[in-house]
Amino acid sequence: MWRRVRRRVRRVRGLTLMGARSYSLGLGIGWRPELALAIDRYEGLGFVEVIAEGFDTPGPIPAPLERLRARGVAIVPHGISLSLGGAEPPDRARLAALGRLATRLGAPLVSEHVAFVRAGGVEAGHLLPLPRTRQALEVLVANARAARRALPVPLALENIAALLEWPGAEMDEAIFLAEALERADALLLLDVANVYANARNHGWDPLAYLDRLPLERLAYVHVAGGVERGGLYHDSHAHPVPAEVLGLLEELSARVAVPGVLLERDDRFPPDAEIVAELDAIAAAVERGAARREAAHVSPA
Amino acid sequence: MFLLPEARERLAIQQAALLRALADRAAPPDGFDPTRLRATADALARKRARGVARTWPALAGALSDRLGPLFAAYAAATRPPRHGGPLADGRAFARALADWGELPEAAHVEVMAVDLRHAPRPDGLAPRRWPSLAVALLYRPRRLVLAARLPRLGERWLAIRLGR
Repeated sequence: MWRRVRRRVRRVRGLTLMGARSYSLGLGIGWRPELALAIDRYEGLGFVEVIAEGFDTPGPIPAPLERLRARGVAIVPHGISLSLGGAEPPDRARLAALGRLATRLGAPLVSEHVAFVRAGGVEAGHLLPLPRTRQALEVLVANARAARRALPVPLALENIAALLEWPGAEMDEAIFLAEALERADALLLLDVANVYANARNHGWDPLAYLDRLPLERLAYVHVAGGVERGGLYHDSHAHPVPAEVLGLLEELSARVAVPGVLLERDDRFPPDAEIVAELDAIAAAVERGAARREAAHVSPA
Repeated sequence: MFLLPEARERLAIQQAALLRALADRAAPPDGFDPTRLRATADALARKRARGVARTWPALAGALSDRLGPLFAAYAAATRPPRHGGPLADGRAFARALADWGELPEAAHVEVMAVDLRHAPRPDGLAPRRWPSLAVALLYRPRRLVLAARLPRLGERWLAIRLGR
């Protein structure tokens, strides 16, 4: 009981004194009904993410989530339909719903994507990449600012995985993301699996990507599995997390203190033991990176 | 510098063209790699089918191997709904199956459960805020299934056996 209160006090104090960047979310997992039991039983859990659009219905918070809250597990609404990279300003009703959900869940922040999901009256049903032009950046920044103004908690923006690239890019993906974060004053939700997927599919260097991001804005990290199909790496969220993604997580953790890291699994749910093993492997990768960072800090060679 | 309205207008045109190429497999806009476009369109289609299979387990289970081809036939003619995601997509799929006489009986109760909580709208589903009722006559075994839902109070389900 006391621990819970103290933890809550710490979280609130962190928010007010040091800004949004100071929360320590810890180890997390994307909450899905299929994983509810495994999540309920996993002791070291610091936070979960819920797909915001799945909780549009009025009424009580589902019991498993209430139990998590009672345990002191933070819940972060993760939006997939704001279309912040879309041509139109974000929809007010969607923003209001996301804000209400954040308040209902006592969420420390919400997250969305650098992507568009609809255009010309067509719904993509998927996150699609933006043209990396100054003009598109302008629109993204205006939309993200509008979202931040409407939301009761800080907003983190996530990099997506995309098989295709727009022609006529005026900057690389890291610079595009970095500029968007700085100008919209948003936090970073860095998906290392998406960095890995894009680097592999488009032939660029994932470490150089990490080095160009404003990592002091890091709120938390996504990790997920994928699969190779037809010569391309698909970020499926339905397969085991590859060693290369864990390696990238370690590299990130060697560069900056990782406030939180969350496993996303959306399909082909494995036995609970496999989920637990993946969470443990994620925690170990963060620790390896942190040890390297501390060693470098103590004795700069 | 760019004016924001101009930037929005240009982006709207670019994004609509890409989306048409992906959703309707229309001609690819200039400069895109056609193989990457096809890979993205395929991934979108797979994601759509998987989403429906996951949110409609009874329907997917009853259709089994026929889910793939039947869903492909439906999806080719129907864009994803604008509201309600895979749940709404599956509801529209169930309606198409009913029209074709292909809706398995095992999926009726699942359809009822969704209809109790969500109202159809032209572009998808919306959560119901008012009490609702659903009824279905099922044959194996022969029974009348009634369901009522009162927001905040919950649901009541009743199955009445009819003869033998």
